[in-house]
Amino acid sequence: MRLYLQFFRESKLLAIGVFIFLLICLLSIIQPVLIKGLIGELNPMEVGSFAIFDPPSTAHPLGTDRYGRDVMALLLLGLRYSLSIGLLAGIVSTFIGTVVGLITGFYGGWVDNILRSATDMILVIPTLPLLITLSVYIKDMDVVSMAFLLAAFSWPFSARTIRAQVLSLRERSYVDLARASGMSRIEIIFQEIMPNLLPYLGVSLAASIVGAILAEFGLEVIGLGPGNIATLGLMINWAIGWGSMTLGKWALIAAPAGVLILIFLSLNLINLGLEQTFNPRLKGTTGL
Amino acid sequence: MNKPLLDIANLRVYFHSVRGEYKVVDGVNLKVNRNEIFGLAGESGCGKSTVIEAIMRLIRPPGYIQSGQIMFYPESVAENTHPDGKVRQKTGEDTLSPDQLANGFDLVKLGERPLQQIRWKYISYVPQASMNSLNPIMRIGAQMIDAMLTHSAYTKIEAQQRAAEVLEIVGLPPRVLWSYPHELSGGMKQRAIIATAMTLNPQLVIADEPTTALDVNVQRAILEAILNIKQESGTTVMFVSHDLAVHAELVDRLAIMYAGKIVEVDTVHKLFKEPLHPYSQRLFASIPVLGGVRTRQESILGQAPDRLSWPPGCRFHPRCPFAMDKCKQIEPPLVEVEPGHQVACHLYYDVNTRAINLTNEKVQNGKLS
Amino acid sequence: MQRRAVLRYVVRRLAIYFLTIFGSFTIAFLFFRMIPGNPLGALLTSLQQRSAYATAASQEMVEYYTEQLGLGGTIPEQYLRYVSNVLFRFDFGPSLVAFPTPAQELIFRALPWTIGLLGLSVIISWIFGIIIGGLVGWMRASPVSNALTTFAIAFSQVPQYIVALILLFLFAFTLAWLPVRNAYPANLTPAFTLEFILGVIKHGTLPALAIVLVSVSGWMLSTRSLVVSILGEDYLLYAQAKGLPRRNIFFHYVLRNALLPQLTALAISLGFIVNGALLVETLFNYPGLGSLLVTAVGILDLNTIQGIVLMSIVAVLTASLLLDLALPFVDPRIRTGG
Repeated sequence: MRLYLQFFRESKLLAIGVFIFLLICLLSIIQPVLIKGLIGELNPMEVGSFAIFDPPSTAHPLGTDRYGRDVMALLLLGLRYSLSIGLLAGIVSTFIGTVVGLITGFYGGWVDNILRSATDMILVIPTLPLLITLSVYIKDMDVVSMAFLLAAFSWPFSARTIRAQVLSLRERSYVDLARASGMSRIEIIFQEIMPNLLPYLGVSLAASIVGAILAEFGLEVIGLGPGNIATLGLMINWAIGWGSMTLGKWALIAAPAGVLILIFLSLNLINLGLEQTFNPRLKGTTGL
Repeated sequence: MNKPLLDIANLRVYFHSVRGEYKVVDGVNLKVNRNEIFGLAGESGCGKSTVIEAIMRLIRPPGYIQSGQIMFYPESVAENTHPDGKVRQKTGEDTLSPDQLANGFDLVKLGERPLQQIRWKYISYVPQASMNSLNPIMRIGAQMIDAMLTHSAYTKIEAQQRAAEVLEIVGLPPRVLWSYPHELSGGMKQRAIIATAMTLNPQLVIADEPTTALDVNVQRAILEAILNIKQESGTTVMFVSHDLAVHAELVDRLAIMYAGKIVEVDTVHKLFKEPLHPYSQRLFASIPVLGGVRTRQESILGQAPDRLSWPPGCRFHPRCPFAMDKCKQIEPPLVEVEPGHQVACHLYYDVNTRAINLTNEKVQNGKLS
Repeated sequence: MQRRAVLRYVVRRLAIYFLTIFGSFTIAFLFFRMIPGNPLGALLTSLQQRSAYATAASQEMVEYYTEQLGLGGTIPEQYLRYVSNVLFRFDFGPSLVAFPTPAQELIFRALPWTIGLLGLSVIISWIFGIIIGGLVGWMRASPVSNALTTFAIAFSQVPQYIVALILLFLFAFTLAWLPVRNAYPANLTPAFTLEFILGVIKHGTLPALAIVLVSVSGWMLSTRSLVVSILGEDYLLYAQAKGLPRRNIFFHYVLRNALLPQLTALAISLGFIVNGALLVETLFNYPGLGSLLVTAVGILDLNTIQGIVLMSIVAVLTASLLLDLALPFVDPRIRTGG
C-alpha cells in the first residue's frame, strides 16, 4: 500500500488525474440524490417540466433546454451513462487485450501469428463506420451490450502494447530463473510477468476508457444514441440542432462538452502521471 | 615531463534520491602518468565507472559532482602529432587559453564549449557495454568519422582513410566501415569503438570494462588491440575493470578501489606479489590459479555496503579480518608507504605518530598470526 | 543480399494487404447480412413513412427492392454476386440517398474531399508534431517547452469534434472570418479556377485546423516521451562523449531514431484519425465520406453504407501499406533482414 502512495507523491499529474476522476465517479454515483435535490421527484427527461430555454439561475444552475428540462439534471444522467459505458467497455477491452497480449507474447508460435494478424486487421479498420451501421440496425442497445460492442473493437490496442511488453519481459533473466526452478508457465505469468505489467495495464485501461467514451460520443453526436436517456453526446447533438450557437445558449453546448473534456483530462492525466512515474526523466518537463 | 597527465584530487560524486544522497565516489585521489597504462580495479558498485564518467563530464542527473578537482595537463598539440604528421587541427577553434594549455586546467570546472572541443581530441572514451553505444541506424564508418569531421580539418575522404587505418590496428577489415551495428558481432563492435577512440590521436584514452561480457578469445584480441595502440602512438590509457587477470596482462600501474575510495595503488607486478591492504589481499587471493597446488578458494566475507551510508571509520572494517578499534572510528588516509606504492590502512600507517610500518607482524603472508 | 531481404518484405507486405482487404470485405459483408433486424423491412417502413402511403408494402415493391439491393437468394449467392460486382465492375449497387444513382458514384464523388482534408491534415500534424515534440524533449525544462507541453496535453484531451465546435464558434460565428459549412462557396461550381481553389482553402481551414490541432498535440507528446527515452540510450551518451555539436546529435542521433517508431505509430493511428475526421465532416457539412455516411445511415441505404465502410477500409489499408513500404528506407535493420 505504501508503494502505491509513493506513486502519488512522485507524480503530481497522477495525483490530480486520479483525484478528478474519483470526483467525477462520486458525482455519478450520488447522481440520483443530486437530481432529486434539483428537481424533486420529476423524471429529468420528461418534456415540459419547466420553462423553455431558461437562462442559468439558482433553481436551474445550467438553465433549461428546448423541451423545458433541467440541463444540470440531464447532464448528471448523461455523465453516469458515459462513465458506466466507458468503465465497462474499458475494463472488458483491457481484459481481452491483456489475455491476448499475454498469450501471443508468451507462447508465440502459430497462435501468435494468427492472433497478431487478427489484431492488426482490426486495428487498421476504421471502426466508426461499422459502429454507426450497427447502431442503426440495433436500436436502443442497453449499456452492457453497447459496452461489449465497443470493447470488441478496441481490444487490439491494449493487446498490442501488452504483447510488446510481454515479449521484452519474457527475455529477462528472472523469467529464465523461474523456469529453471520448475515453475509452470502459468505460475510464471502470474508471479513474474504480471506485476511488471501493472503500469502498462493502468495505461491501457485509462486509454481504453477514453476510447470507449470517445466512440460512444461519436455515435451520439450524429444522433445514434439510446433514445431514452440524455447522454453527453446527444445533448450536444440536440443543442446544435436547436441552433444554440446562433441563439446564444452556450450552456447547452458548453456544459456537456466541458464535462466530457473533464473526463478525458482526468484519464489522460492519469496516463501521463503513470508514464512519468515509470520514466522519471519525463518529470520536470511540464512544470508540474 | 614529470607532471602527471591526469591528477584527480578528492573527487566526490553523489547521486541525489528521495532516500538521501548516494555517495558513489567519496574522496578519490589518483594520478595517471604519461605514456602508461593505468588500471582501476574494484568490485561492481565500488564507483569506478562513475569516476570515468566524471572525468568525461558525462555525469547525468540525479548524479552530480559534489566537489573535487580533475586536473588535466595536456601536452600542446604540436607535440602530439601522429608520426606521419597527419593530424590536422582546426585553426582558431580552441577556446582554451594558451595559459590553460600550458599549465593544465580543471575538467570539473570547464564550460560547455571548451569541453566539447577537447572531447575526443584530447581525451577519448571507450564506454562499458560498447555494443549499445553505436547508433543503430548509422553505418559504423559514419559514426567513426563524425567526430573527426567535427574536431579537425580532415576531409571526408581523408577521415575515411584514417578510420580504415585504425580499424586495421584493432584487427578489423575496412568493410566494417560500411556495415551497420547489427551486422557485427559484439567483439567486432567493441573493437570498432576502441578504434574510433584512436582516430584523432588523443592524449588519454579511457576504457571502461571493454572486455566484460565477451568470450576469452575476443578478450585477447581486444587486449592486443589496446597494447598495439599504446605502442603505435604512445597514448596514455586508463583501463577500468573488475577482472584482475586482465589488469595483470595489460596495465603498468594499478589502483584498487573500494566503497568510493582508493585503497591501494602500485605497479601491477608488485601489487600482485605483495598486496598490502586486506581488501587487495583478499581480492588477489580469490583469483583461481591454474596448475600448482590446489588451495582453498578464499572469498571475501560479507557484502559491499549500501552506498547511502558508509560505515564509520575505515569502510572495509566490517569485512576486514584485521580490524582494530581504531578502524571503526578513524578513516585511514591514502599514504605513500614506499616509493610508488600507496595504501589506505591503519596497519601500515599510524595517523597519530605518522609512522610507516611495512612489516606489521600481524600481517605475514596475509594471515593474522 | 540486401535486395532479396527487401523484396521478401515487400512481397509479404503486399500479400497481407490483399488478404486483409479480402478478409475485411468478407467480414463486412457477413456483418451487414447477418445483423439482427431486417434491412428490407426497415427500409420499406421508412419509405412508407416518407411517402405518406398507408398501404402495406406490395409484393412487387418487395421483389423490386430485394433485387435492387442484391438481397435475393441465399447468403453465399448474395456474396458471390456482390464480390463479382464490386471486383469486376466496381458496382456497389444503387444507392437510396439518390436513387437510382449507383452508390459508387456518390462515394467516389465524396472520396477526394475526405482524402484531401485528411491527407493534408495528417501529414502536416505528423511532421510538425515530430519536430516540435523532438525539440521539446531535447531541451530540458524551459518555460517554452513546459508551456508547449501543457498546451499539448490540453489539446490532445479534447475530441476533435469539440475542438471543431469551439473553432466554429470562435471563427465562424463570432468573428465571421471563415465560413461555417461546405467545402466551397455555394455559388461556385467546381472548376480549377483560382476563385474556386481559394474558396476551397477557406472552407477547408476550420475542419483541417480542428484535426490538426488535436493530432499535432498527440504526436508532440508521443515524440517527446520517445525522445526522452532515447536520451537515456547509451549511444546518446557516446555521441556526447565524442564532443559532437548539439545540432548534429539532435538530428542524426535523436530525431532519426524517433522517426521509425513514429512511422509505425502513424500506420496504426490511421484508423483512429479517420474516425475523428468523419465526425468533423458532419459538423461542417463537408461533402466527404462522413457526411455521406450519416445521410445514408439516416435512410438505411444499405449499399451506400456498405460501400463507404469498404472504401474507408481500403483507404486506410492502402495508406498503411504505403507507410510500411517506406519502412526499409528508414530502418536499415529491416533492409538487411536483421
